[in-house]
Amino acid sequence: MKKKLLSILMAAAMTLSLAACTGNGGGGESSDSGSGEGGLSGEVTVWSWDVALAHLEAQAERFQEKYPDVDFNFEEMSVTQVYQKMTTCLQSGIGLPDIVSLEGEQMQKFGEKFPGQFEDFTDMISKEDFFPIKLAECTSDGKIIAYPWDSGPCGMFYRTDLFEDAGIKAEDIVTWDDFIEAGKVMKEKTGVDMLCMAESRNDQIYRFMLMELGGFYFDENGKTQVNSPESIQAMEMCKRLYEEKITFNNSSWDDMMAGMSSDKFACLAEAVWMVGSIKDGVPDQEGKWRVMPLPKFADQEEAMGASNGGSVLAVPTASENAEAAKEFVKFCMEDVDANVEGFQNYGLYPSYLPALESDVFKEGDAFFGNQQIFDLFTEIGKTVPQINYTSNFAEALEMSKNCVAQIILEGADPTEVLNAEQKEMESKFGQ
Amino acid sequence: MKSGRTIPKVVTYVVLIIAAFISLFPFYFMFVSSTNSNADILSAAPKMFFGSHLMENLKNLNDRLDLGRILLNSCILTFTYTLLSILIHSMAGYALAKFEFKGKGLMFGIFMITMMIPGQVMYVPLFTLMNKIGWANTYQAVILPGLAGAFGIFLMRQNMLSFPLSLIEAARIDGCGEFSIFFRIVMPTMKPALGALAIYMFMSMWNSFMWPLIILGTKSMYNFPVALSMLEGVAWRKDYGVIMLATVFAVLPILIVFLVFQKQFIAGVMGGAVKE
Repeated sequence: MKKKLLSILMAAAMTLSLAACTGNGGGGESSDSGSGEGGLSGEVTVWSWDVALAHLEAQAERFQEKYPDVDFNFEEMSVTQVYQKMTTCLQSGIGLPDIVSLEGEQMQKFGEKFPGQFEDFTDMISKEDFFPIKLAECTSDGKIIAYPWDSGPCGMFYRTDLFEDAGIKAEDIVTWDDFIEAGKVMKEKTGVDMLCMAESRNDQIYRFMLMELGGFYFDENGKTQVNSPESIQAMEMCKRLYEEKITFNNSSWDDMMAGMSSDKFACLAEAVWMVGSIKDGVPDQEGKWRVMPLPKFADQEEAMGASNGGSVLAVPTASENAEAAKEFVKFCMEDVDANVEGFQNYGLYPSYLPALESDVFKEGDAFFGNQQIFDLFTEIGKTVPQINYTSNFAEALEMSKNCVAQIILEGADPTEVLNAEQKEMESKFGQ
Repeated sequence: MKSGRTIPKVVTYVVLIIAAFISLFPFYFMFVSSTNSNADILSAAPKMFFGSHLMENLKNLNDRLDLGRILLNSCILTFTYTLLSILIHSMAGYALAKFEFKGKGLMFGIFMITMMIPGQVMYVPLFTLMNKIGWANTYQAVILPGLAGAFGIFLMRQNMLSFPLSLIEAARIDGCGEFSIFFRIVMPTMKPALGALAIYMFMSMWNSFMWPLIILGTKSMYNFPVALSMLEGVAWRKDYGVIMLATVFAVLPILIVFLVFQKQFIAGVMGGAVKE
């Protein structure tokens, strides 16, 4: 009896190990690889989210007209899902997709933590055709390891009806000092807050100002520089905005949208993708919104732009069909029609300059009183400095939010807080 | 004497009512919001009553997710897991409580120590293992790793400790086999503990997110939590009506299970606590 049991167990163990040898690792995505002579072939799995995925699906049909042997397999995931899965898959080297979309700000983190695990596009990409900031996002260790996709140049959205009520002219607002003066008038005459600025949820206004001054948390070598003169200047301006009592606090995205629909604030500093959210969120405010560039600092001759958000497309080296995947990525990203379609159908504002030259981006937008807002954003986009997000951006962002909260809510001194943050980041990131 | 007690009683009830309101309101809002449009929910004064957008939300939800398939996935995963894990846990608990064998104490100690290993550290090796066996994107890959756990074994062992040994011996003398003793004599008296364990296992599998997310690769295999998180989309394009409706679907079964079994749940959790 005992012997019989033992032999059964042995047999079971052997079959299992046999199965382990023959089982293919690729999560059910086995296929013949690479390019044949006439063209590309193979199955390409894509991980992306929401409209981005929908856009890629539409482009895949166009791609297949050219390369009928390439099959696609689209997996919809949310942004956080992609990160959670990617980390496990990259660590074990299996189960990875052939193409994945990531937020531009996070790309360097993946590039640095998993060196050599993303295909190199350096020789493939036409570098001068993209916003410099997007190329910076895609560059890790001197190599371009992803393709820039949609971009997020930032402007100041404002309510022209409220400006009129208060007797303010947008043309008169050039510097942040002008902005504060106008804000006081706004508050006095209409009771509406001038600017939507979170007290602790994010550090957006500070971060935008920092970029305008040509700085960031890190310098081009990745060294922490949050106590630079630019950083202190930006933080002091945030503090002033708050102390003049012209800002509207929001504790969440939905809070902000609710404030918008109930006329709580007149201005919102945000990236170009906010256009779609304003249209969706407050359809009855049609014609009341306009866009201007972010105010500058008084001593600054040439202001730089700020950027927020936007994604990139990467191809993991584990891909069995990397050639086809890379070709598809280039096909989508370096094509005027593809980019225009993505913008028209899904509101994906490209970073590909030739596409931004086409007529759609020169047209006025009815919701914005026929203002040529997209052209304005293109001009802003070109002036965004090449920021080094490094692999520590996510952590630094959290720390920076805390600093904003300390300075605004507790009235702490910007120089002291930023010096302390500098020390903390240096010890945490080691540089 | 009597009037002296009314005031504290009133205070108690007021506090309880407030507490009940606070804990029930999110549920109420979830149900209400599933019938309202995104604009209604996000307006400055959100709609607090049932609206007319239920069908529209349902249609949008169905466009984005294959609800039937996800419900089926969740049910297969949860029921298989619950049944198997109850069986394994109670058998292991029974053995540890009622049998004497070499290394029993050590074995039990090792089981308990595994409680201290956080699940996250096992994701990568498990993921590699499952892929090597060729089980990526399968039900068994989700079910198997968590099938036997220290908590369940401990719970069942504690409950079985108090089962009288003399009854088992009597059955043995009467010629009853070990499996019959277990299934026909011991198990029927364990209903409260089994109920508690079943609820616990049911909930943990129904709600499990991280591991299924990692190991399941295609939309058609997703369970509810993973599918729900897909709806999250990008921050500026959330449709809360649809999300709330999907959440209702995800919460309903667990709500029903809990209401049906709640007596056992409380009785079973207390079961191991007191020894008579």
